[in-house]
Amino acid sequence: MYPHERSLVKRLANEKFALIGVNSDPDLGKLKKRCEEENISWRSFWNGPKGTRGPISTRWNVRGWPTIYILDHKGVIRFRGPRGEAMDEAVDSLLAEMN
Amino acid sequence: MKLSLFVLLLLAIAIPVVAQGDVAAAKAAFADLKAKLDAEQSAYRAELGKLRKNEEYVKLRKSGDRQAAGALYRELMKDIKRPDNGAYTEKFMACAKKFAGTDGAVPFLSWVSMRAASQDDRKTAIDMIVAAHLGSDEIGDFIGGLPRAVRALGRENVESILDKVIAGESSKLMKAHAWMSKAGLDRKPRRGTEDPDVTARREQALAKVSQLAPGSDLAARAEAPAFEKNRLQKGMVAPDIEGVDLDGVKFKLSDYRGKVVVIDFWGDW
Repeated sequence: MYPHERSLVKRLANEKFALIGVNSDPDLGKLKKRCEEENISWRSFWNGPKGTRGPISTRWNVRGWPTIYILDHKGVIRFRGPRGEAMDEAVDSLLAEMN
Repeated sequence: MKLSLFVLLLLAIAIPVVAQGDVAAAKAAFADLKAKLDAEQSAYRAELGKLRKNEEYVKLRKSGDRQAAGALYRELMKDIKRPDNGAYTEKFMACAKKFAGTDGAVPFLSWVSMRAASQDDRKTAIDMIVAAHLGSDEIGDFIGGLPRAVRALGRENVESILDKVIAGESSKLMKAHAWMSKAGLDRKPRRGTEDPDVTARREQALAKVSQLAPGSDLAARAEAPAFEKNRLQKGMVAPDIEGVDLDGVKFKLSDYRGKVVVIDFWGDW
């Protein structure tokens, strides 16, 4: 999944777009090393030492990883779940709405 | 006379202290044994990971010959040592015996009740907890695992254990665990429609969790399905997230208002 997200972030670097992660790795040290190795540049909330049982994913009732939500520029939830090309198309359609 | 009174008094003070000491020692012993098992399991998973990258296996998969790939996989797997569930079950049971009579036995029995390969062993461990530890404050994990014991015990028996906890002298938190597991028995099906009575029963059980243990992790889990239904649907303004990034810097989801945002719940696994 990283390569796809890397290319999305790179392609839309100059657009009004952000990819925000919520990361559920319990070991922060190991995770930061992995981010360097994989060149993961986007910002993530850390879900805390309880990993997948941390507070953010618990509140949002996340039970599968990855789980995707896409919000428009007003903060409205417009898509739930699309990955890969469907994710790109969803983001592009919301960016087009802004113009 | 005076001396025996003194001895009695001493015993009355000493016994609870010893019992508490046992629980702490048991928890430490449990953590040790569990760490050993975890290490074996992660070594096992690492070996399986290597196997999936085996050159010959990868070649066979790419060629589309799934049958041959599968056969090779099974052959290679024979050389990988899997953690011995039966041996660990025996070890956990031996420790439970060592700490029998105190709540120190609970973590060991809980493990067997949820993880033993043999359904009979699971049942034995469950019976032991029910017989001696049902009022204990250490049985949260055990209660949480009970919905998965339906196969070993049957639903009615699982439900009757949970009802005993709820009706008994347990702490509010343990009762909340029991309600959470009752909700777990009435899990929402992934597909298809659900009997409205079952939905109502589950929602009532989850409401009890919040009532009994407000603000707890358990309550957060209990409230999550309703939160998703009422706040996380398409067309709704996303609830704000406040937290810290991987460098410990505070930020909010709403900081990104004005931009299209993909929220990606991810993990490096």
